[in-house]
Amino acid sequence: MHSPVRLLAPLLIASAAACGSQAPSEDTVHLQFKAAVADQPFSCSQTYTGLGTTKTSWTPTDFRLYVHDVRLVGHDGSETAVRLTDDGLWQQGGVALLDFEDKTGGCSNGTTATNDVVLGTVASAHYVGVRFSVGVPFAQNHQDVTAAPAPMNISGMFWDWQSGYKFVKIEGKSSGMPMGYNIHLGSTGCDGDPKGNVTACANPNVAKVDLGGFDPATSTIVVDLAALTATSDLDHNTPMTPPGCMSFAMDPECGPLFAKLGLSYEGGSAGAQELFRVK
Amino acid sequence: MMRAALTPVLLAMTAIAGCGDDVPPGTPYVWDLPANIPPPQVPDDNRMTVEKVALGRHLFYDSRVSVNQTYSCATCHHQNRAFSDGQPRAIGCTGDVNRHNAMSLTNVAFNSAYTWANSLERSVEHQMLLPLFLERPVELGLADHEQEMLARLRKDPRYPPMFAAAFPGESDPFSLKNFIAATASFVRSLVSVHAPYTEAIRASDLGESAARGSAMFFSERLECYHCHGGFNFSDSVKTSKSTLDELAYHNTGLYNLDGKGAYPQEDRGIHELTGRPEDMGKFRAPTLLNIAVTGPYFHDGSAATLPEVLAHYARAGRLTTSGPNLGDGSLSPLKDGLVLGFSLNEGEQADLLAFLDSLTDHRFLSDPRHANPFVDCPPVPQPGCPPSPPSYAAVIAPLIASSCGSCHVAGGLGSALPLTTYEELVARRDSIVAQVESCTMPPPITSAALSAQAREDLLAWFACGAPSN
Repeated sequence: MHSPVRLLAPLLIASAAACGSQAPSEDTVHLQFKAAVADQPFSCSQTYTGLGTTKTSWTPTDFRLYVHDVRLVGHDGSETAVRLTDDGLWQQGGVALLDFEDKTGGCSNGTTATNDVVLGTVASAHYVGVRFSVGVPFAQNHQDVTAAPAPMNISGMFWDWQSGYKFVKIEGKSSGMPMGYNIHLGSTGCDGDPKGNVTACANPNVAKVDLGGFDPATSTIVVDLAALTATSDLDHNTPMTPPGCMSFAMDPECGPLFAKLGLSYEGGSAGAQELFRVK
Repeated sequence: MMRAALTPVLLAMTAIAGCGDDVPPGTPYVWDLPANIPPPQVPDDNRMTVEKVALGRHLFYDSRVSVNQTYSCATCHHQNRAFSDGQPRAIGCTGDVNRHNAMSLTNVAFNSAYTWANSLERSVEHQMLLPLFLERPVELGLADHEQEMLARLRKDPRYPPMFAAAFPGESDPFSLKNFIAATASFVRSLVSVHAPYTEAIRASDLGESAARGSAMFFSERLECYHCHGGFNFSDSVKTSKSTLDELAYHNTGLYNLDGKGAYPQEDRGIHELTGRPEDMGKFRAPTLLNIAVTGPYFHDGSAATLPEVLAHYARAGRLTTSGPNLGDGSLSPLKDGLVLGFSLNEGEQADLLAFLDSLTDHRFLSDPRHANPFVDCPPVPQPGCPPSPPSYAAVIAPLIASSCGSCHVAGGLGSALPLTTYEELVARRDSIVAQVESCTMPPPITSAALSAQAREDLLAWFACGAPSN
């Protein structure tokens, strides 16, 4: 595990362009995420029980997701953007990849390195909440993946049929779906131009997360697979549809999963997201 | 005088310097095209060079490209079948069955879009990401594994000079982008312009039967040419002279599950991407060049032969009388307005088939520029059943065991397609024949190739009906 130095001493930004006004004070912020299955820590080497409506077993094979547009919320409800640090590995252009799989156990197709933090800078203040979006912003979602910088060059997250990225890739094997149940979130209904550039997506499927009771210095954002799948039957897949939910239209497995992400599916109402919680 | 004499030299030098940015680093590729067909469009950042095409040809045929080193692009795109694979649906390197029929690569440089139904796939480079990285189903299985693949190639002494020549001046040319650029360049070079029909000056050059078939094909009675028109027999074509984006998708009435035109849930054409109700069951009209050798047909490989395809269009839609796809496609409200039906007598059908045969470019099917650079794969002489078929027990079973048995068994790389019993062998007849004809199995480079005798024995045995002798 990381031993995070959560809030470093305020950094004075010396700026020649400040023209005598007081330089703003910035803090380094270190948002700690933690993957879990209900009250147990997530591990690729463990099989979990009691998931979904059938209380099935789950052997993980993948657990990765992108987040962006990270903001901290003050007492008065005002938002302050966190500037993510481009680290050449997990974060670039305001997007971060959270990678909870380590290529062990059932996750043999993943990558060894893991990442459970989002690192950035934010104006010094007292914050009590965090907001962020799950996924990749439109401007980066349809870039040339073969020329993209890390972490947009992770081919396991390419979503080539839809000309974008998988925003969320959570996969595992349940008792009833031993060949795998896949949860892939991403933008659908995209239109393109004759050069192949995507011009718009009818269903961006970017999930918005708003968590209160959050102290950037001490809180952890739990990403709970059991909460995501609480109302799904993970032992069953509608015949002739992708195994699990891959965000395609007319897939009954997507409804309950989208609801737990706080997203509307096929015109249904969007509930409150339950995948993330503060601990 | 002196000044005048110098001017052309200076101008020439200026011209060279001025054009420097546009000249691809390498030997410009010269298209083999007749005067009436303009060259294809090529992306600005991947100009065709002889060096890229040469490298791409090797990459296309290299079995080390797939995650388990069993498949190359050529495993599903056989030259002798105009770069299709003879199977209803393609099977990936880990045994996953694709929902689509492997498309012919004939003239794909002229496509305005790629795959059966994806309007976002507008270049060969972009399309290639699908077989490389798709995970459900797996084709080449490289998601999270492309760096290992590139490392394998780097170790083969053939590749560093080829990569360096194709991408000069790059300190490390072994990148995914370059891999795709070179392979795409080779795929663009798969230009087929020597079919009898393409080379004919007038219809009578085709012979009487094909000429009559041609007249029917281009008639308002059959309406074929509306979707399969132009030099490439498709209405989704792009050339360097194109000014508009020509891209069309059609519902041809293959299915009608609910009376409202529904296609099977596993593949609904571009509706899957657009979500628009009117896009249900719409697919791109592929080229008909080399169509006689690219069966089975349709996006899902659901018609085995060209007569079956003609019967579908003659009936104006397919009637499915049992099973999950029950329904009458001819009554689909979403069907294209030109799939109206027609009737053909026996002679007319033969004429139409003769015309479709005249679209086969035999030079393309054996052009050494497009052939496997790693193994020699001559056509097997005297295909057909010999008077005394090879013995299953004495010849075929031992041959399969020694050449296929190390992978196609439980626990082996080919365990999804076991070849351990007579029944399994017979069940996979079409696939084995296609792979043996094209020398794509056992995987070249990573396995020992079948001998000419072994290929002949296997094909002869299957041609005799696979006797359990």
